[in-house]
Amino acid sequence: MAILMGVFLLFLLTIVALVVLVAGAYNSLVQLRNRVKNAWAQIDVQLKRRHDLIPNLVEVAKKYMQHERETLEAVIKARTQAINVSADNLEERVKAENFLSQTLRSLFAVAERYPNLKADAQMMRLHEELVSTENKIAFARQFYNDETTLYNTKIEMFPMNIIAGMFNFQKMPLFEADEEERKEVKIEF
Amino acid sequence: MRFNFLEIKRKKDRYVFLLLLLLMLSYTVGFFVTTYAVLFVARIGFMSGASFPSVIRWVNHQLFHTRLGLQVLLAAVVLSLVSWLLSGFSLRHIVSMFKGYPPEPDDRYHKQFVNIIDEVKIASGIKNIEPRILPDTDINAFTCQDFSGKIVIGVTEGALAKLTRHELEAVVGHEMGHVMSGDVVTTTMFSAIMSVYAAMKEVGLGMLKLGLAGVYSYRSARDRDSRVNIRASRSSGINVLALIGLVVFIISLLWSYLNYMLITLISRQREYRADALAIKIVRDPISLARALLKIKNGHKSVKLITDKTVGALFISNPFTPERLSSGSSLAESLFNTHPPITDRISIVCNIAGVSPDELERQIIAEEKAKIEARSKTGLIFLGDKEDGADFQVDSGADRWMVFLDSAWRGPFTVKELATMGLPPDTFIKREGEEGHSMIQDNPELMMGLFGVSARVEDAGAQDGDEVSGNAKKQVYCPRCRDVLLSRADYEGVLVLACPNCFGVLLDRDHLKKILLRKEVGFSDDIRQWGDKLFSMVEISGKRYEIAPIKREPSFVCPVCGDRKFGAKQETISMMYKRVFAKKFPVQVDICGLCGLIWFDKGELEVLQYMFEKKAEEMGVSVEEVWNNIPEIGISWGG
Repeated sequence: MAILMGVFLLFLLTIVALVVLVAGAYNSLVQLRNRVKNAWAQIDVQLKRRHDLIPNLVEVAKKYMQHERETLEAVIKARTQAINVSADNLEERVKAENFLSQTLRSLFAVAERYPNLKADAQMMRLHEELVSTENKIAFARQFYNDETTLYNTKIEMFPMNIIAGMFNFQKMPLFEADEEERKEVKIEF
Repeated sequence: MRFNFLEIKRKKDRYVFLLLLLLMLSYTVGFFVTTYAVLFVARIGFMSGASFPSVIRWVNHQLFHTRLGLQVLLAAVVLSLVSWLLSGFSLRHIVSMFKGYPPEPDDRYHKQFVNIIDEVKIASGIKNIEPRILPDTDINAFTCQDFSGKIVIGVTEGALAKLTRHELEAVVGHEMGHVMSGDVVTTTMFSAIMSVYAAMKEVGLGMLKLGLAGVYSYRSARDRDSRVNIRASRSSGINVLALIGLVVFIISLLWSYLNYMLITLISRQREYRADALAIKIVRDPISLARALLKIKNGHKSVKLITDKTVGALFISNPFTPERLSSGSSLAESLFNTHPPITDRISIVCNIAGVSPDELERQIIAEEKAKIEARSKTGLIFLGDKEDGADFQVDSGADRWMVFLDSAWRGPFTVKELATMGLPPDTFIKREGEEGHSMIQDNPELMMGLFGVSARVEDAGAQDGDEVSGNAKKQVYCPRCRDVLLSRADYEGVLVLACPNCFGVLLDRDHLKKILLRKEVGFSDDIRQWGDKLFSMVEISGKRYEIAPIKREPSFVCPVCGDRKFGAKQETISMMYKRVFAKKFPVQVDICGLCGLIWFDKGELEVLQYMFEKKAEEMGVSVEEVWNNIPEIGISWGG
């Protein structure tokens, strides 16, 4: 009788321990997944800020760059495109934003040829804001990738993979440099 | 090693607990040793002729078999808890010790720094960071953190002026590395502890002096009369006081050195780790290497801050003499909180895959090219719609085209036109219309552009007076009388300038920033003017007289000059013509009350040119020239 009691107790203890372990693992996964979501939201905030800055940039640049209508129009068009892509269509959005980055880069490259524009006080500040926003986007992606890698590794590793499978934790996609960006990476020396 | 916010938090809690224990231990041991020594000395002093073993036995008995020991322990614990709690305030204390101030939103360089902090916040996922700026002129940066988790990252004005955006980002990344690895708390804590020992050292020194003074006065008293017996007991008492003071002094000195060595041991490793983390955060090892190289080349020891322990908080210890920052012998580096900077550079360069020598050559070449390619225009008028990050472009107002340099420019709003310094006979036309006229024929524009306008707009659309930091007040040009000074950007510094005569109103702190930054180049006229002034200095050095400067005031100070007392308006202060400094005889106007300086057109550029040339001649940096000016605004020869 005593033995049966002992076995029963042991069984009960094992169950309790298992539940506690699974709950702990589940909570840690939820925590990680929320951080990945937060990191993604960070990117969104910065993209939105870039959309807000561009009309001002074009407005200032227009004063000095009447002969570069094409470049300016390309920027405006790219911005409109990026805004109009629906938020759910991730792939399209990434594509549109990348295109916007490209047009901006070419705008700044052209602006180099206009010393008056470069010396414009508003342009100087706008340029700094945009550089900062571009950096923030890059850093936000970097942070997102770091967090996502952590999360992805965790749900693939034993024994988390079992729990992740049980509660349907999906792998999250990583940001990858697109073809255009890859081409532009160059070493300075 | 992975660093994310949760781990940092957990690790920080562990650190903090460990530190508390360490602190208690440090206090307890320190107190026991001091008490032991004090008792010992006192016993020997009062009981002349007692044998050492008996004294030791007595002291042991007093300390460990009576309540005294318990009391000492209690005092140590209480004091450690108090200083623990107080060290929470050390952040404010430290920042105020460095004379740090928050960045000015209108300063372009400061804004860039704030942006970089924001970027690094995103890159690291840590949010509560406050940016601060230190007035020092050499390149440095620091970080500290209290137990509430508030972090302060500060850089010097010198770093803002001399580092590129990427380099500054790498430096901030390094400071962030300290935060992420959690060692800022330790360093901040240690500097708090050290200040207690410094205080103890002072007390000991005071006792020693008091005791010695007593001995001296006793001796002189004895010389005067011979009542030795009466004063004998007092004599030994005084001697004991001096001895106790000496003992307290020596022990606290030794103890603080021991602690200091402990800091140096820990913090040297940390610098390497923070460098590595900076690369992880910013992913730009080349910029970090370049920043370190610039720090190395511009390094000099600062004597502004007396508490040496805070040196560990900086990216490169500001108290280390040049010799130590590059030397690597064991004895030399024993007391250095930072590893030799050359070692750090070579490690970072190794990661970046470049050779330090090549990088250094490249930096020198780049700086040379940059100085040659400087633009000639310094003053950029901002208009009044400019406000930090909110770029609202007004579209409702009328726009005008202006005939300038044989072409139609524009369109501009009236307010923009007002900042361009156009003469009244300039041709203008409305945007989109053909017929043109002159400004003076158009009453609306005359209102908007010239004196009359200023008073019409009295509602305060234009906010001036950034310079003196007073309440918003309209400031008129002292030369042109009824033209409002407008906000303008000069090398990133917000100044008040006249759109008509291009005079600039500045205070000394902002002038120093402008002299540090090297954005503006100089036209040949400016160069000639400066060289002529230099030759004047030479002549006057041979006792020639320079034409005396008028003693009567030039004009009423535009900022603090007029005050209203009821209905009556009174003049309070005037600006006087002054020579900027003996070796820089640029004639500027300085207010006798608020010290603001008025530069007429070109005078600021000449001063900059002369500073840079002087620095080049003497082979030192501009800030050293600035620091060697004995007095600004002397009335020379007058």
